Amino acid sequence: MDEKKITINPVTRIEGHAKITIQLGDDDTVREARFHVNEFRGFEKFCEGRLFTEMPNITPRICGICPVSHAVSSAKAGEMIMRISPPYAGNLIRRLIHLGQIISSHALSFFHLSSPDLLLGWDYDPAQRNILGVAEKYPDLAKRGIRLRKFSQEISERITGKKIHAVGIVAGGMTTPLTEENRQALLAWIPEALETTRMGIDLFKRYCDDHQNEVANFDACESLYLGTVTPDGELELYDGKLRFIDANGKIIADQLEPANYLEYIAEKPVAWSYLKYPYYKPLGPEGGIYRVGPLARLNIADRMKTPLAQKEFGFFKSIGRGRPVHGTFYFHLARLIETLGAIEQAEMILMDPQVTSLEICAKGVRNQAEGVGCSESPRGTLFHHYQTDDDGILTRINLLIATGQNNPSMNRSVLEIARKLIRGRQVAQGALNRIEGAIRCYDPCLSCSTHSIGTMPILMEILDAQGNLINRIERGL
Amino acid sequence: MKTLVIGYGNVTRSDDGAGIRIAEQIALKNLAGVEVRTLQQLHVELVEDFVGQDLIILADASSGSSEISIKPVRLGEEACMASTHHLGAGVLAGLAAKLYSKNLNLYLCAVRGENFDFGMNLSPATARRVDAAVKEITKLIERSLSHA
Repeated sequence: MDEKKITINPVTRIEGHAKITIQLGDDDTVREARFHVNEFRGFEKFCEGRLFTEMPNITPRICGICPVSHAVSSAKAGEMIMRISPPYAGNLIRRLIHLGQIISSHALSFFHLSSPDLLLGWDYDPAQRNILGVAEKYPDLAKRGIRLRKFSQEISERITGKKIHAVGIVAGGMTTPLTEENRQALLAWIPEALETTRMGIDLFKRYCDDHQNEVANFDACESLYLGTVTPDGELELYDGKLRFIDANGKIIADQLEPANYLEYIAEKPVAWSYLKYPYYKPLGPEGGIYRVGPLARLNIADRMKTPLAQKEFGFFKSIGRGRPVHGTFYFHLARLIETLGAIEQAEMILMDPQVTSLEICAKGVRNQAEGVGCSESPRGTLFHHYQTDDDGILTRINLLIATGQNNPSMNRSVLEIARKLIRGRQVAQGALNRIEGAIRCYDPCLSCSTHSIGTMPILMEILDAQGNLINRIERGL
Repeated sequence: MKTLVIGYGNVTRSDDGAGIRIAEQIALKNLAGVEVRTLQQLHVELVEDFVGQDLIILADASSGSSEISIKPVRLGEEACMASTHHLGAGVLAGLAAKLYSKNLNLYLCAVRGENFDFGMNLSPATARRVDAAVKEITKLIERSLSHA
C-alpha cells in the first residue's frame, strides 16, 4: 500500500510537547490520525517511598499551569488517609486559590493561546498568528488578557507568597492565612476581571456569528461527559460528587463518591502514546469514551453558582437545544463562562468575614492506608490516589489526569477534522492550524498526564527517507 | 536606576536550577536599586513589571554550546510559543514594544548545564559557571549604573 504520512511536530501553543501523525491511504484520503505524547515525567513512580504528607508540596511540580489543582487533590487524599477535614476558613482560602488557578489557566488558554485563531483567522501568516500578532492588532485586548492572568496569579501570590508552585496547601487545610490588606487588594481587581472576561465572551459570540459554517463544521464528536456537581446538580469545582451523562444528555451515573472512581473508570494503555485511554467502565473501551473539562462540566451541570455565569450558562445550553453541546470549538465558550463564574465566586469568598480567620488548618495522623483526592482542575476532573504502609510511606500512587481522560476524544477530533480538510499531500497551512486548533480546544497539558517511567508499552517505528518502514521496536505490548 | 534580576528554572532538575542559583547569589550582594526574583518559568504578565525597569537581566540554564553567554534580547529572535512552558524572553520584549511602546534594556544570561536529571545539586562544572556568571552580571549592573 502506498501510504503517505504528514507530520505536524511540535504542535505549537499547547503545554508540553506532542506530535500528530496523519496517515493517508492509496486514494489520498485520511486513513488514521494520531496525537502522540512523547514526554513522560514519572511522578507516580519516583514519589513511591515518600511520606504522603509531602505530596501536596511535591505534586504541584508536575505542572506550572495547574499546580494548585494537584496540591488540592493531593491534600484531599491526605485528609482521607488522616480522616480529617479542614476548618471552614481553611477550605475558604483553598477554594479561593483553586478558583485563581482556574482563572489563570483559562485566561492563558483563551487570550494567549487561542485568541490568535479567532482574531487573526486560521489562514493568517503563521509567523504572526500568535500573541504578538494579537498585541499588534488588538493591543487593548492583549493587555487585558495579560492583566487577567496577573490578577489570578496575584491570588496565589497574596495567599502563599508565590505565583507558581504555591506552598501552603497541606493535608488539613492551609498554612498561610489571608491578611486583610491582601483581601482588599484582591477585591479591587474584581470589576476589571469581570469586564475582561465578558469581552472575551462577546468576542467568541461575534466570531460564531461571523463564521457559522466554520464553527458548525469544526468538530462535533459525540461522547459521554464527566464532571463534579453538588447534591442538587450545581457545578462544583472544588468538592463535588461525580456525574456522568451520555451523548444524549441523560444522566447515567450521579453522586458517585470520587474515592470509588476505579469502579467507574478503567484505563487502557496504547502502544503509540505514553497517555493511557481511560473509559467509563460499564460501557467498555469503545462505548465508554468520555470527555472532561470545561465543555464537559457545563454539559453535566444543571446550573451555575453565580448570576452572571448562570446567564451565560443559559446561552450555552441553548446551543445544544436540549442535548449536550458536542462541538469541540465550544470548549472556548465553556472556559470563559467558567472564568466568569470563578471570578464571581472569588468575590463572594473575599466578602466572607471568615476568610481572614487564622483557624485554617486541622492536625492529624495516618488513620487509614488509602486515600483519594479529587477536584476539578482547569482541564478536567483530577484524581490523586495514594496507598501507604503503616508509617505513612507511599507504596502506590495513581494520578488520573484530565488530559489523559480527554486523550481518546482528542484523537477522534483530530481524525474528524483531518478527514474534512486534508486530501493528498497538499495541505494548506490553515488546515494544519485547524487540526492544531482542535487540540488546543482541549488545552492539553501533556507534562502532567504522562505516566511512570519504564511501564508504558512503547512502539517505535523507524522510517527511511522514502517513508518506508525499516524497523519496528516494541516494548510491553 | 531600577534593575530587575530574575533567575528561573527548576531546582529539582539539577543544573536546570542554575538561573535560580545565580539570582540567589546576586541577592546576597544587596546591590542598591536591584530587585531579585526567582521563578520556575517566565510568564506573560511579567511584561507589566518589566516596563518600569531600566535594566532587566534574566538568568537561565542552557543546553547550548557556550559555557556562559550574556546577550541583549532582540525582538522576534525566537519563535513565539506563547505558553508558560515555552514563553521566551523575546516574546516579553515584543509585548513590551507593542503594548507599551517600550524597548526593554533586557539581557539573557545563559549558563550551560551538564546534568538535567532529578536532583537538587548543581554539577561541579555548572556550579563554577554560576559563580563566573554572577561576577559578569555584577559587572554589567555596575557598568550600567555608571552610564546612568
